[in-house]
Amino acid sequence: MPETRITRTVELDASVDDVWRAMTEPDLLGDWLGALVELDVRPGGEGVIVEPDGAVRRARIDEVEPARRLALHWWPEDGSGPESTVELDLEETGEGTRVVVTETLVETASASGSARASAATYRWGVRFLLLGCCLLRATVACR
Amino acid sequence: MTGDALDAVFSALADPTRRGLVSRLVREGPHTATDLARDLPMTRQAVVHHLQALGDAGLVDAEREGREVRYRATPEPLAEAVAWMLDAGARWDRRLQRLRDRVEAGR
Repeated sequence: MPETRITRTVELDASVDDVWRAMTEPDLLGDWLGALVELDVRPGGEGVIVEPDGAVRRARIDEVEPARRLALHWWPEDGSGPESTVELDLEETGEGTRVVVTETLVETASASGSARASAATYRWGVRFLLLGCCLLRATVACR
Repeated sequence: MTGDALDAVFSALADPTRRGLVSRLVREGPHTATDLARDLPMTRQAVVHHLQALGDAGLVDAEREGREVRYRATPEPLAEAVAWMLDAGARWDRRLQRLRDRVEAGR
């Protein structure tokens, strides 16, 4: 079964070290990842992220490769949504830093059960939607 | 799903208001058009029009309950995957904009 995921790539006019600091220092994480972030950034470290709209996620860090990669998984505290994994990959470019974010849905037993019931539609549909979301992004970018 | 059906899905989701309506119905469960219009800068009539487009695309179902019509996201994995991707993508767009503002400040 294909994975349901989104990716975003941004080029930032800042050094890899500055971006990495923003991704790992508790005080700086609260400036962008959520409105309030308490996260112990080391493998196995846990934390809570409160978004500006009040959504609360619990998180656990999976991988920490300084100035290269941060991977974690998180899930809404109230169980209102599925668990997903987040990968943040950093790459130094000539002008600054490229950040690639990938968030992937973790299929739960019930989700895969209902997906099996219409596996063909699902597989085909998701593949097409990934393409569709790229087109939607392109449309938005053109505005 | 035929090519026409997919065209309907994409044209329905090309509109940000409709993307928002699908996300909300998946997140919060069924709503009437009146409920949905309350939080949007548009008339109930306009919301119904958007919901019909989403209905034509197979993303939303209308159910009559007495005198009310309630709309719900179709409980297909497809609709759930769409809603999740729209929501997760929008959240990352906002986070990455804040990250940019943070790390590029003062440059």
